[in-house]
Amino acid sequence: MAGILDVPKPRITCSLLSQYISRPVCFVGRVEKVHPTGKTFTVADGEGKIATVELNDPLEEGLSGIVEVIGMVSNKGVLMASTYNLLREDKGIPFDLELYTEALKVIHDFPQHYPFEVAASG
Amino acid sequence: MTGLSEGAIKALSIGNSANDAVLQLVNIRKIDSGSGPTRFRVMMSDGVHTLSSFMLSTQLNFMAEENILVPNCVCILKRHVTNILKDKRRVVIILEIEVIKPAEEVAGRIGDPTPLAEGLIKGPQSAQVPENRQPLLQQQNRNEGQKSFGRDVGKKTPPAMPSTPGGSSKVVPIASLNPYQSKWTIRARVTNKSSIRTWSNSRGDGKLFSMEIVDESGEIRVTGFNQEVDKFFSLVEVGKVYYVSKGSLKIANKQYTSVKNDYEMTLNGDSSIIPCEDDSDVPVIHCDFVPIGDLENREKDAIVDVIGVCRSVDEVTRLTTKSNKEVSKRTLNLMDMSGKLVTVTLWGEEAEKFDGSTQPIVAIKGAKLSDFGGRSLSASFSSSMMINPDIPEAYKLRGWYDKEGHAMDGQSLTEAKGGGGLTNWKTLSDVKTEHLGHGDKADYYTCIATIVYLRKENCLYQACPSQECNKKVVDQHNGMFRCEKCDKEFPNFKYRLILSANVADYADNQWVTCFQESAEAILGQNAAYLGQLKDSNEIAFDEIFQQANFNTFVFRSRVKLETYNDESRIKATVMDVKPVDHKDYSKRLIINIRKLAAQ
Repeated sequence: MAGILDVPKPRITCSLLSQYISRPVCFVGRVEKVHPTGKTFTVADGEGKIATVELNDPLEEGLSGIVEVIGMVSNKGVLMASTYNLLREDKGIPFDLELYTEALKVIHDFPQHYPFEVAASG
Repeated sequence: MTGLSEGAIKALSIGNSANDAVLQLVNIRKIDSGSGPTRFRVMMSDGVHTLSSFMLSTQLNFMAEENILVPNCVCILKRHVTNILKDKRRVVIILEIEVIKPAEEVAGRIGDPTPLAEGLIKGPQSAQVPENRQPLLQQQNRNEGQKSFGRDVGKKTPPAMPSTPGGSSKVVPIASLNPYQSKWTIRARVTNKSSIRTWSNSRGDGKLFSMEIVDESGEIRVTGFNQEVDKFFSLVEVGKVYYVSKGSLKIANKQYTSVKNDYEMTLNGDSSIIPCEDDSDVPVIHCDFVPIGDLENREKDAIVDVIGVCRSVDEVTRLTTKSNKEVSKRTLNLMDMSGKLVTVTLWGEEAEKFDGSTQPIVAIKGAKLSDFGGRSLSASFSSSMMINPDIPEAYKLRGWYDKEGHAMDGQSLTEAKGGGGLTNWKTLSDVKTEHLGHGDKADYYTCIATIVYLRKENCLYQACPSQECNKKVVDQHNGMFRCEKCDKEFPNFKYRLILSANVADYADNQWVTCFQESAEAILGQNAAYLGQLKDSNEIAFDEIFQQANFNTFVFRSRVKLETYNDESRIKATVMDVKPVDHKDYSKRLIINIRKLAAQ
């Protein structure tokens, strides 16, 4: 777990979660609901599908907008976040989550042309 | 046995229904009524009598023009209406007729018909009634299957003139309306209603509204002025069905309307509009959709109905018209199964309200075709727009788009001016392999490329300082600069840029020439400042060129083969430099990838 930042973290969508169980991933989505405990929240991807994110420590800030989560996928398909990064929407052009998701699909549909994992780990 | 419906002429002449009467056409004659549409007057015979007061409804004019209806042919009169003129004469308007025996198979006139006496045509005489009903009943037996016939007989109005005050006039189809007839009621659905418009000129001011109504036979535009606006505007709701009677009819001014009817109606003091509850059998809207791919073959200014998927939509912009009014405008791109796209401009409220984010099916009735930027459409105030309409075409289109259409690139009929529409995207290797610029005319293309080298030598020149002239000046070495073009000497000059740049994309590179504005955009500094820097601080000047390397832009360029001293080479000039719109670029890449994968 300590080295999660050093290993390749494929970017995935909700529908791919089940294929990445126990593997480190990077997930970008729109914050939907933050649990009152601040330890977990839900995110929607560009297709409107919902994933749950669990944190080690409760949130210390309000969370909204687009967030990038890095973590492992649990057996239940929950994202166990190691770290997250809020994409600020007040700067530059707003992030187009739908377009991002379309691009992700291309990457996963044609892995032969996007050998990110192989290159990074090999 | 003549084979004709003997007695039918007499029945028709007094206003009785004689649907499906078999008649012989005796004569057909064109009537040119000056400004109005051409009409055809027909003389018919039932073997016993002839009657010349038949008129062909204008939508059947083609039958006369194409010589389908010619003297001696035998026809079935399928649908008609009888109109009573002011002088009580009756005119039988033929709405549907079928030739059952062409003239060449008929040996001339059948029987020995005599013209029905004028007296008989004028108004009914009670004595005639019984004998006239006879042939009708015979026909009924022959045509039991005919629904319209049965209905007519069932509640047959007595042959007394239906113009009795208070007596409700018969419901007639819109297609049968004409200016020569005043006693009618139509039952029709409102498909479009304008807002109230006001006018004010030297002759006074006023207000009006208009609407379009449709029934199974056709459509018509209806206009109400002043009092009629107060009386009817709030009553009429789009989509509802009404009984309308006693409007005035006149020749339609086709300039202002897309409605397919030779006439239009004006509401007057006697007009009535009554809501009709049972509206299930009245059609919702009357559209004649033209495939987008066929728009290229249509005349400019044609009024067309189109349906398509809203592929993309631009933001609302506001502009000021010549009459100093501010209007909103929005353009969207519609695509249909022809794989072609067309740009449609919406105006006013429709532009402001339109939401294209869900890629809805958009049907526009009465859009105007323009040749602006190739082919484009404009939805004017007489057009009506429907979002995801409940019609079969819309479902078909939705199914097609969700299945395959969404992956198509689509070819636009409208050329890009600024954003959207068609841009001739090329990679730099395409430019070479497709031999752009080798033709008679220069080629234009757009590419995304990165600056790899800027030649700073001779990138600035001293130009004539007058406003319009950018000609290079000659240093007179006496503090004056001479412009040959203006034939003048100036004490000063202005710096202008002519920058040679090498740009590259993933596959190739190209030398391009950038003039003033595009060079300033690449360097991020204006020419005057650069000139000053070049003369005063060469290190800072070099720095600007270093900084500009490896920036990526969208270049719109012009290429043309040019020959100097017997040596031909491709010259590329940058017309426009813009920052990369990454969203737009990503979308295009994704579409291209999907398209390649589908091959």
